[in-house]
Amino acid sequence: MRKELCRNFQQGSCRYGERCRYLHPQQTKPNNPFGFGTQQQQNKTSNNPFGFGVQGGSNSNRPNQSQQPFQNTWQRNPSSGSGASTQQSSKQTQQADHKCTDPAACKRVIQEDLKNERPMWKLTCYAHCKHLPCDVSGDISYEELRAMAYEESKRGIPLQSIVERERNLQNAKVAEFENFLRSPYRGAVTANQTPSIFPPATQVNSSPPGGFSAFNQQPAFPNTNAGGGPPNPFGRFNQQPNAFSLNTPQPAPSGPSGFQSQPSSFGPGPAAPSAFQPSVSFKPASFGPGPVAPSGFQSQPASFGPGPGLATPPQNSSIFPSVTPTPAFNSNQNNQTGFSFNSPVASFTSPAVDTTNTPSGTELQAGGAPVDTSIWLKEKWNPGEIPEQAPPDAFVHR
Amino acid sequence: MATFGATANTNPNKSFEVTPSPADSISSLSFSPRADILVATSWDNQVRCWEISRSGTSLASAPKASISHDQPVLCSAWKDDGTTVFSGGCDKQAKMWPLLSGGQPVTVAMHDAPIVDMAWIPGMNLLVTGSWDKTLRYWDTRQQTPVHTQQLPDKCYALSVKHPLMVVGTADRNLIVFNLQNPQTEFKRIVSPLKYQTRCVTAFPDQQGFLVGSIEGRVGVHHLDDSQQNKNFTFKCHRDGNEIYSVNALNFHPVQGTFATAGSDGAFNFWDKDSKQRLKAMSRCSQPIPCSSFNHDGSIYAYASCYDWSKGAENHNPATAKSSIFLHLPQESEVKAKPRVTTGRK
Repeated sequence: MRKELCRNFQQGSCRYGERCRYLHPQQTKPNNPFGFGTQQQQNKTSNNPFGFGVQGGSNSNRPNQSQQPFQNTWQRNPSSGSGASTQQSSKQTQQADHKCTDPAACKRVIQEDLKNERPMWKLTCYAHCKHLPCDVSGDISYEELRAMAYEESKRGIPLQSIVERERNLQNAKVAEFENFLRSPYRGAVTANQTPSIFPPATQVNSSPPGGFSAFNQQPAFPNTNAGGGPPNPFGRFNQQPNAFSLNTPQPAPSGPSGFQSQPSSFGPGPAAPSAFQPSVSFKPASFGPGPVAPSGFQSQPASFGPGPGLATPPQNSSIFPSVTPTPAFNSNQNNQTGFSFNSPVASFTSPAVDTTNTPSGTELQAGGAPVDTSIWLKEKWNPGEIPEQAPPDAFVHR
Repeated sequence: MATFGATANTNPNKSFEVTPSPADSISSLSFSPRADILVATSWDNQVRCWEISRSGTSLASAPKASISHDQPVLCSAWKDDGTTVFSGGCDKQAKMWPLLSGGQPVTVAMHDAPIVDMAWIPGMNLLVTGSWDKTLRYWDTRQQTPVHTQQLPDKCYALSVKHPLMVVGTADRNLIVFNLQNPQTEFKRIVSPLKYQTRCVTAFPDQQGFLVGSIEGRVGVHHLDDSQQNKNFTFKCHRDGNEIYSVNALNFHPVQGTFATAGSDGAFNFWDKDSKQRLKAMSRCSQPIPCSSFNHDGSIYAYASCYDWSKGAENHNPATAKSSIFLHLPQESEVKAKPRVTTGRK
């Protein structure tokens, strides 16, 4: 074998596999620490008995992958002719067509993912296979959580409660993941999820749940134009007479052109040499929105108005009234996340965690799979008793 | 603000700091498409604007003006002529601010939930806003009602426009591609190639595809055309040992076609997707970088260093929190595309 590194292998597209004349290093190479060119996510080797494109990620230190004693149910595209790119796309198609017919493989993928590739942010959805719909859904983003916190603080809710609410959310989500990890056969725990992605072995689900395939060109969605009122053809705005002058007439121009002083409603009128005209003292003290003088824009009525929602903060400071910085905040920059929980709620059953802003998908329900055989009854499996075969039909679809 | 002489940590790249710094975290940064004017939106409800000037390798910033919203501001966008700034946020409104002419801001858009991202569509003179109310709305700024409302499968988390291509990332890993010449129809809907929550998307400058970043320290490079699917790949970044941080921002260099990523680990990196290389890894700041932006010619890269809530309310300490905006002058070696490394072929 030549001593050179196989270029195709680096990109995840070598079709010679173990027969290749060039080197296929099986562990992380220094010049590919980012796993470039890995068509598959790291934990795919169980689907990849020929070791194609083994990812350069740091997770490839499992006992040697390729010879798993399970049935290789993948359709191998007889790689004719055109070389790398065909192989690549065929592999990718296989990926997209991952039918989860081998639950053991899927479960392995999930286990590896959740063990090795756990991101720091916990309030997330998850899918074990790229381009497939989520196995665990119910995304909450940083900004959503933050907006909730700021809003609560404005209403006078103390920081501790906010932290606790967030922690509950997190615990709930982590528990959901744990449940999923333990019993992926039951499909996603989330109620809204369409029936399990692990169909019984006898039946092959030809399309991923959700009704559309990843590479579908023209997905057949129900009409997405749900705009209010009559459909608005795009050209309409051109024909519309420009009658609508939004908003109150502009007050007299506030100054010479260019970046001069802000409109007077904002604070001291004339251009003071200070930094930002209106809102000046950037006191870091207050947690909340800062010293916003009741903004003149409030009064700008009109049509848009201040909108529904919270009334304007009457005062400008003390947004987080009862914040006592020191005790409450242990700024633990050092250790791992403030959200450290260790033994999440093994006994956690089914709270419906309701989060504002995420009306769908975050509600948890305990896996309520119907129970027949005692093994499927168990909430928690000990290692060794996890069934290898797919559950009988009765359990699979919820 | 306690600087314990720890500038090495807070600003290890010795970037220029824009002052005065906002009182609370910065949610978005936008440079004018015409001049070096930087706008920052913040969780302290303010939209601020600075004029940046550069002489050689030194920078200066002059604060110019600001406006406020009633609630935290989450996103901003410039009109393509560089005269007007749009901003939107938790108050569910978007404001149009003709700042070059010193005009007052007016509200031009409304949603039923906070607006998280927006973009100006130059070809159509419309503003598109995406919100947690699961819709995209297109606005002619002269009208009160949206020209069109587009339902999304889930809450909008990010959007990117490179006319006529628009990519929208939503919760639960949906990615929807629109051809803005036919905006009422989804051109394509795919599920993310990444396994976890989508954090940011940006379209290729040549509109052949887009980048998607997630919370799992990974970026996906996705091409739209079926014939180019074999060029798709993902790569890992913003990881530190076993700690996996999120990729918060993706920005293409306007000239070079390379791109930058910025993450919750406080680092920003420059990458070349065509040769699949990392061009430069910058040093980690002590705080996450939630947003970033190149200026119109790529000579300045602005990034914010402030808490992004990646560890919840618990780790927010307003008494000691410092939110900074830094400007980095990318060197050619950091952003210039590199040819692919070639090895012998069979």
